[in-house]
Amino acid sequence: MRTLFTFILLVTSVTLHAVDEKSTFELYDKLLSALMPNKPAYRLYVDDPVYKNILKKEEKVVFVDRFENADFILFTDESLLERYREYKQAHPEYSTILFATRYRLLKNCKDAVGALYWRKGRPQLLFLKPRLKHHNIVLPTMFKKFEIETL
Amino acid sequence: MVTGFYKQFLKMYLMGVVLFPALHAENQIDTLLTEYSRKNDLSQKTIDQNKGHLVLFTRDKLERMHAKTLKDVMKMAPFVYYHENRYALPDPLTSGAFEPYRSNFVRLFIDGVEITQGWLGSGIVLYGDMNIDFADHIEFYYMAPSLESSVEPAFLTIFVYSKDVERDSGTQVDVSAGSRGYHAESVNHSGSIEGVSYMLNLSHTREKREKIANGTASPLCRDFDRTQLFGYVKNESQTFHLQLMQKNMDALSGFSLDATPQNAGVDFQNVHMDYQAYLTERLRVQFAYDTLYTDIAMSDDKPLLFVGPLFGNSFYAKARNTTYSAEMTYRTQWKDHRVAAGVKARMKHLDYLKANGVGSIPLDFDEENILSVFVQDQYHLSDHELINVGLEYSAISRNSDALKTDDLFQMRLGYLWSSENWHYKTYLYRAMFALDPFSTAMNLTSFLNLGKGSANSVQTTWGVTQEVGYEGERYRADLMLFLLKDEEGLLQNGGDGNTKYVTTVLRYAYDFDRLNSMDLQLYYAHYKDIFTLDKLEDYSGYLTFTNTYGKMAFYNGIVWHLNSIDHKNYFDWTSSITWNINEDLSVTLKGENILDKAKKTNVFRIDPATGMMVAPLQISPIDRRVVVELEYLF
Repeated sequence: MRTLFTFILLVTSVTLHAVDEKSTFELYDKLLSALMPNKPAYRLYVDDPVYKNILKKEEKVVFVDRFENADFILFTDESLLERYREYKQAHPEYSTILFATRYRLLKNCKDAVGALYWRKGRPQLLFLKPRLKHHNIVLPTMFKKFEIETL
Repeated sequence: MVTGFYKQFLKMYLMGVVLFPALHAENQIDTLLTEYSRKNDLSQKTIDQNKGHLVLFTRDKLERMHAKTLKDVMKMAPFVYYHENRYALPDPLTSGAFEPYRSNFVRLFIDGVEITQGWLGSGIVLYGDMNIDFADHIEFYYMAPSLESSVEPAFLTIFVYSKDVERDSGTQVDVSAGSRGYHAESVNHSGSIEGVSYMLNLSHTREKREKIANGTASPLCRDFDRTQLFGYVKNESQTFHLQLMQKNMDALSGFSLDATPQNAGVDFQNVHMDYQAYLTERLRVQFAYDTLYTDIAMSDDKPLLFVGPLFGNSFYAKARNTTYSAEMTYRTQWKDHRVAAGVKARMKHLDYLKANGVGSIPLDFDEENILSVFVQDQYHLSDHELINVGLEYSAISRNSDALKTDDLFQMRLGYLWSSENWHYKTYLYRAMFALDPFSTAMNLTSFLNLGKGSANSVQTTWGVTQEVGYEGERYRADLMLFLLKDEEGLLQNGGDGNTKYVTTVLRYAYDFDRLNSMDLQLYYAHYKDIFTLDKLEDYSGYLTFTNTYGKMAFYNGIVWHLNSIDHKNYFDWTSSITWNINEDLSVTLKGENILDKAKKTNVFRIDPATGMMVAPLQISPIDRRVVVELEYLF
């Protein structure tokens, strides 16, 4: 049942990173199964504690703490992107699925296959076709309209 | 021929706007994105329905409306809408008569902190048409004054919340140009460094507005040039805001009694700073500083409004006033009670008022102090029900022998109920209001001319309000009903001086799909004894459509007004087409007041020679214009 009295509290600007868990989980659940359709388990590298808390509800999710063990990396800030770049420089052959929560991260990382981000008050979902093809990912039909060729 | 083609095109365009959404197919991901959008909208973090009856403009809505100023939003806000007074200042409650300012009861907050103009009263005076490129969403709370947020009593509080670095980091440049040489530029930059987020927004507007014929060779002007800076730095527990504004404006009829000024202009320079900190999870403190420099230039070939014979037919003056505000609020949870209590203080000081050739103008007082204490309890009767009780006492004192301390007692009692889809709330409240210091001082001294009046009165407003709403998967509907009575109205009203009024607002929003929606609002108000009228009926509403097709986005909105004064229908049609060239660049063509039939406000006139009323000027605060806008995101 939806939380009653959602209209009480909710004051202050101190909570900078509040995310609705249910709707976020439902969306990422679909995304993970679309990007890794045949995986028995999703080995995720996620830094952000908010997303970590949400994604742990997915039964197939296993969190890893090293890039080389990850099937999927979720970029949520610049520092993680920097660390990835350093790792990639040291291991040029390394390749895994990268997904971003900000447009700038998608733009600044040529390896990211897509992003779910906010622009002008609306959530935007984007996948880059060439990058999906590089990973041999064929998205289900319901995601096709979110695929584009270039940024 | 051309008119026929124009009408045909218009008909097809509007048909397309209405019918197009039905052709759209939506899949499961669209549905999930819609839900994700609704639940994660930033307004969900700031809304406090217990503050009163909420009318919300989300970021999505503001973007689709292409709202660039608070005026673009206020013109759709029921009850007040947007009006300007005879000095071309935003004054939603203006009667068009000769009062200095009428909207002191409408209060403006940015990120939870009130922007005040001190001696001039509400921050709406200067910020009522501010650039809102820094804003994420705007909340209007009606009728039940929030004891937690406002230092001074208010019956409408407008909360503007700035963009969040999490979603808007980077730089955004926005330039627009339009009719009569209008142009505006805005740069927004935000980011975060090691847990500290910051934002800076700089905007400039050269507003070239329609001139108003006044029967002379010199029509009335209301152009302005405004530079505005908004910035914040914040972390998890502390926030600092800085706002600067310089606005040089033509003041329409200014102090001219018959609206034929030889010169009418005002320059403003404003600084606002505030600091908020959570000392503990329960204890919050806040300090704010506002200062306003005013440079007034008024002249006419006849005696001026407000100004005594000492000044002749011209009044050139400089003034500065400063306001210091401080608040401390304690919130705690005890069993099913959520208790908040606090103390708030504000000092408004008129630093100087100097006229050319005369020097300092003595007024009856130059300092007003407000001290308020409040306590509020929100008691959860059950998972579905809440009772709210709030009490506040405010004392307003001035350094004048002629004025006693004003004691203001406020009370609100509320009941709220919510289920999966339905909600209901009702409030009983008593609020008391005082005039802004400038109006109080004017009534007392009227610049050395009219002698002492009796300004030391307070208005008491009683209200019973109700709201019922339903939220379905694709639509939301709500109905608000307000019954109010103003006793001992501060400003001149007819009858026994007590204004009684009933207002209703019906709203309905329907989402055809994630990118296509419509909004409808209908408003009716019936006033008894307002201004100098026995009865006033006011009808209004709006209908908007937002549509997206590929990279093209469309917005169409019509605001409608009708009242019992002139029984004329007024329509303000706004339309825009946006081409989202790519994720970074978009171009918009926007038309405002396209039909040139937007609501007009009376500006009353008196012939100084005879003292007789002259036919009032009817002026629309909404200019007809076309604007091209280019937006680039780095």
